[in-house]
Amino acid sequence: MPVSGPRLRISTISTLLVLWLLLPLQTLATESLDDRLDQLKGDVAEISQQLFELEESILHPADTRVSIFLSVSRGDDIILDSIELKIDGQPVASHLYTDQEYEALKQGGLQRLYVGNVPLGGHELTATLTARSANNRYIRRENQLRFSKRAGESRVRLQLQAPAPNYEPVLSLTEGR
Amino acid sequence: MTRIARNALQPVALAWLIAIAVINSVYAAELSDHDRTRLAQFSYAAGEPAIALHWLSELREPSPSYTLARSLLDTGRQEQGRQVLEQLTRGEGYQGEAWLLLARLAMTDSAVGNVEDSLNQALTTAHGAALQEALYLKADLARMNGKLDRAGQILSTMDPGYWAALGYQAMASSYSDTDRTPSRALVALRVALAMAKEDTSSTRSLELQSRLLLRAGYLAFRSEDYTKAIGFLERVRLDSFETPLALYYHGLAHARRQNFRSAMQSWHRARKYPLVLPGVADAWLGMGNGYSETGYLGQAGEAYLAANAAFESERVTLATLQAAVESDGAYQALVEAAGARDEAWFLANSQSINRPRLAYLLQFANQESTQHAIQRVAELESVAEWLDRRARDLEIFRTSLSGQLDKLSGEAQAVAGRQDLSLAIASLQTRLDALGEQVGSSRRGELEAVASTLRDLRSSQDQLPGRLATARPAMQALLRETEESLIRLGRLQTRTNLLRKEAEQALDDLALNFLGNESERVTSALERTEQHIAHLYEHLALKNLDEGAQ
Repeated sequence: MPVSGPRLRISTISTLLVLWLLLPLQTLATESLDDRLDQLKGDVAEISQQLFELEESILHPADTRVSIFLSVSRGDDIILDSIELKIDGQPVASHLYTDQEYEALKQGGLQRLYVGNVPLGGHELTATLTARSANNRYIRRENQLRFSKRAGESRVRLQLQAPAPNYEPVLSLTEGR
Repeated sequence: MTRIARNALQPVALAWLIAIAVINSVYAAELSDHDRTRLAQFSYAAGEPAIALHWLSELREPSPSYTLARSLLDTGRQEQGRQVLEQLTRGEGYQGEAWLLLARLAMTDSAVGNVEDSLNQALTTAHGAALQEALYLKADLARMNGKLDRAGQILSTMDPGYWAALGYQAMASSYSDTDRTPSRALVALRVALAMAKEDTSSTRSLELQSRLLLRAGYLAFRSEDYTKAIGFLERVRLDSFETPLALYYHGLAHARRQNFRSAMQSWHRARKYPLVLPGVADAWLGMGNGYSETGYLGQAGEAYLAANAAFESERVTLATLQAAVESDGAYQALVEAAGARDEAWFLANSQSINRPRLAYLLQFANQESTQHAIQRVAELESVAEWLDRRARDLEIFRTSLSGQLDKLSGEAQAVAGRQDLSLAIASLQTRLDALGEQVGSSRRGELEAVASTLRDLRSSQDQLPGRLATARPAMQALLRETEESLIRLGRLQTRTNLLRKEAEQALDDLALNFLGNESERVTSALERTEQHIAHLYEHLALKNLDEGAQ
């Protein structure tokens, strides 16, 4: 059935009016979804922090706990690709680096490579690193280091350096509490 | 020796270890504030802002830091993040970065500050990349207000690189909107190209250069300077998102110079890309036109029929995708099925532009609103997965802690175990003392290490009764905390699921709208092909009639 001209116009105008009225509501709904997402992310981050602490307490008892940290000093002439750690021959940690992560390490960042439990006494730490030198040369180095687990929480600090003139990556270890 | 000591520890239940640990954790030496800040710096760079916040939350002397501000912003705490940024603007170090971030925040929400004021402050305090970004934003603000000369002046003070290239690209866009001739726009694009080459990120630089070359080629083509257009378009990389459109215009520029052979070579190459990408459908039609213009009417007919078949097939693909979006949702149908999850899915690369479903995703995500909608679902998906994983872990912890608590209750067993251990340590000490008199100086260090381990073991052993007394309440506290965390996780899971449904619906609407438009575009291309075929047959029929009459 054909619709007459004025009725068609009124119907079109009222449809547009409804759409115009609904448009801000739709925008509001989208903003509200984003706001609620932000709130959720905030709450998740909060519980994430608390769970991180809870898990540390449950999983890694302080008396047998050892944490291994990595920092970089004078690492401008190499790009670290990956590192693998073994304690007494058992693989315990590995990490593939993104550009941002290595940049953060070069700027003084500290990475906790591993946290776990080992018995008191001496242990062998094998760190295998792969890197690229400034001239795109592929480097793979395996470092055998030793540390002694004492009572209480132990911290092992690995420091990567690639000093001039040959920019050979060197990994040094210091122990501490 | 260490092995004997370890074996001696075997009868001691794991519960002892945990009990000792629980007590010791209270006395564990704390990390320094400096180390915590450095750990936060790395965690943030590793994409873990919540962990960065954990390290920073335990500083003995809390201080505002750029990492703290960004971690707060990334975890949805805009107001707290903004407050830290304001504190940073009053301190030393990261002042420029803080002003810049405040300007960026004000751009998205004018209620949080004045963009221009923040940018002016950033310009006086920022260095390096932050300064370049601030200059770009300042120039772009002037450009958007119609002050092109002022924008040009600001850009001329910038260092070559990504931000300067973006600035000149935007200037070219403004010039092409206002000028009758493309001269100024082309000059701006040439400068942008030179600036982009100095970008330190090679992937980003190449991608930007492709976009700039395509834009320059199109402007030259529009002004009928075909030689210049071909020169620009030839330099577009073959594995960029812009390649099919560049190939199409490259062919068109050759066709305008009556060089149909080269034109059809370009169109033939463009046809190999997925039909959703700009320029591909036109290239399919171009092939038919090319043959037609050069008098090969039979081949023209075949080319149009091939285009027809390709468009028909694409309509089927689109209908399948639409059905998949309706049944599984856009996120599953497009993002996950394209294998683009957990990747920078919005960045085109040679692999992605040759995969039809991913090509649709890339084209779909070519708008800011779509990217935002996909990002939102992806974030909620990742939050949901994280919550599920944590809930599973906590269930395991709850079971394990309950079990350990039962084991701890056997006091007699604890005492027996302790006596075993004391005997083992005493026996080892006797053997060590005996060896000490026989071992030479070369191995004295090893003996000292063993002695030190035995001292540690004895000390642990002596402290055990005291630790045991407090172990049970400490473990009960951990169990309570675990159970409370499980309840909180459950509430967060419910909230996440509700939000995810809403976000998925918003994305589905956008996707169906996009696929509907694509369907219309392909249908239109199909109709054009059919018209060409009809004209061609009509022409051939008339030609046959003429030949028959003669």
